[in-house]
Amino acid sequence: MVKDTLVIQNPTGLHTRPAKRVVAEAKRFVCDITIRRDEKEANLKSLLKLMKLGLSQHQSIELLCDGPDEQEALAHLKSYIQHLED
Amino acid sequence: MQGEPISSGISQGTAYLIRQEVVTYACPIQPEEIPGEYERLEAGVVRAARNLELLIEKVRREMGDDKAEIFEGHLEIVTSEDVDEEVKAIISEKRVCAEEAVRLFSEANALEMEELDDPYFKERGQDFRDIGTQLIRSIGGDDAVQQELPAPAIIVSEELTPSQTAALDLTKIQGMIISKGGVNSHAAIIARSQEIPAIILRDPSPLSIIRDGDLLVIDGFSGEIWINPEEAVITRLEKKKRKVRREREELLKILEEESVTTDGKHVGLYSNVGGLHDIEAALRYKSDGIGLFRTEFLFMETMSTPSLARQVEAYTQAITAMDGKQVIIRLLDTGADKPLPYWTLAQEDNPFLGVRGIRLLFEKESVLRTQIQALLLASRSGPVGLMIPMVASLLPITRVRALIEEEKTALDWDGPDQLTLGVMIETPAAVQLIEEILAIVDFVSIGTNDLTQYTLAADRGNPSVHAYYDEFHPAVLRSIAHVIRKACKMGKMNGICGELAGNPLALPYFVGLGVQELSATPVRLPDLKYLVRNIDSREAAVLVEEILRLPTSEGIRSRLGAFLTERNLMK
Repeated sequence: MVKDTLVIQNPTGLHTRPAKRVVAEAKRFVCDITIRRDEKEANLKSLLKLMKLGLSQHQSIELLCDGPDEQEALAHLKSYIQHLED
Repeated sequence: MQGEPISSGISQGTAYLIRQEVVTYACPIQPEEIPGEYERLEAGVVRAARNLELLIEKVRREMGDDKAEIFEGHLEIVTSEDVDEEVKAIISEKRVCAEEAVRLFSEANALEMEELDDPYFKERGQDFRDIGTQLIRSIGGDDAVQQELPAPAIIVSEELTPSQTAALDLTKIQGMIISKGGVNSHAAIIARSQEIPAIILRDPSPLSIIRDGDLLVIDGFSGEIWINPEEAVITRLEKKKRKVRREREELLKILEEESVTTDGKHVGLYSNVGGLHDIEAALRYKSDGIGLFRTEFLFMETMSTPSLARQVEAYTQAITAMDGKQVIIRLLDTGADKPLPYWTLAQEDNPFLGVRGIRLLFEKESVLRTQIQALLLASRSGPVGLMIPMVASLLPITRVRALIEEEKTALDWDGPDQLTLGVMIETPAAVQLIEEILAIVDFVSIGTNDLTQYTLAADRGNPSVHAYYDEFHPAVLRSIAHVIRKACKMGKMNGICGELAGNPLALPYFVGLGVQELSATPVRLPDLKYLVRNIDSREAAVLVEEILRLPTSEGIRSRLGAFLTERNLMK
């Protein structure tokens, strides 16, 4: 299992459109991917659960990847989320 | 009637009332009916997905990719395992029909969203109800219906769900009055993107005072609503509408004007772009060129470095679109602070002071060679500037130049090329070496973001040193002056492409220095051009002398502010 923390950069946060893109990216990997903010966490491959986390700009989140392609998944998703545009 | 404006504009039209359909369901079932309800749910999901796909196509045609993506999100949720598993669990545990289970499921999720603090997310709770309503209808066998609207119509509704909004024929809609929601509601977002006026009227409910067919006049600037008004009101509003249109045309007209100061000095207004989408904006805002093409996005499209062909295609598109105007393309500028997913880089304690920009490219020489080849091949379609990032000495420049020659040989290059070589000035070392750098390059462009962080030793990604990162710091502005003056003296093309280039407050300073081009996000260009066209470059040159003597950022900001205020140019 690998993990890393990052800060949401895009002004409107992970609302429907950006979140949908993130979920599509996450689904490209086979490993389990969890996103965590404070006490709450969600499966990053579920748009419903991701949206319910309500991730806004400047919030710090933790990404956890567990499985065969965990390294690539973590590096890719971290970079992807940080480069999101609205 | 006075409401709350949520999208500006003035219009009149015939009232068209949309009443929310009440979806009430509570049908208990027997245990043996559970498998049947599972099947009804599955069939409903298939129908809902098909309806959504049709809607996505319609929205994409009428409103563009951005809006269509919202419904792609809905499609993603409707067809997700979450819905399948959780709704089925409700069916079997609560012993209710599929419709009731969907209602319970979407209501619970909506409430959860509405508990969030972020107002934008709060309003997404309504989206979950909308998704639920669509699914309930699909279980019942409904297919989407298209309503027949009067033209021009003003929609009156409690609120508009995304799917309702999208199913409407927007070409006929001239305005909206809603009673619920806020500035981030779907109706508001759609209204603003379609540039039609919209107003929220909470009390009395518009549905109780407006009838189908009423003549409505609405003012989306003030929030006023008139129901069947007198002729005088209509005339007055028509006049206001014409005035607003004139002002808007005035601003757009400036795009057609040249970017010259009152004393006739030209200041190139260029665009920063990341992809084809931005290039369209650059053209729309009549950019004089592309001052910075960031190639990072091209490298992030796929899970490996883009092929030579893909790069040639992307660069050629930009060059062709700009039709002979200058296009400056920066070599891949990445590092541990913004890694590419498919490159495993060593962790660094100080990524901003680490292997980034050209330093990293030298470690990945084959990637650098491919990018140089692509730029050479693309330069067959028009002039292109190759810009090297993260330069702190002369060596990277001579090395890149040698690589260009080698790649030309590899391509059996014959005759002259249209590729020029330049450097992004973003390190204090490059500022100090500017004369030597200028002697061996064709152009320089100052990257103010990195120049600020390196000059002031303040990491721009670190919130705790935010106060120390200041683009108006005298050390930053003096460095810029040094670079631009040397470049002008040596007759070399020069420009500025960081955030500061798009900041109206800094504009008089740049004009006074005689900067040749400022490159910013396309949408900033009309404002910048307005300022350029109202400044005298000789007065700005006097201002520069004053600024260069000021010891603090506060003093500099206030002097620049005064310069603009005195000329009535401060927004």
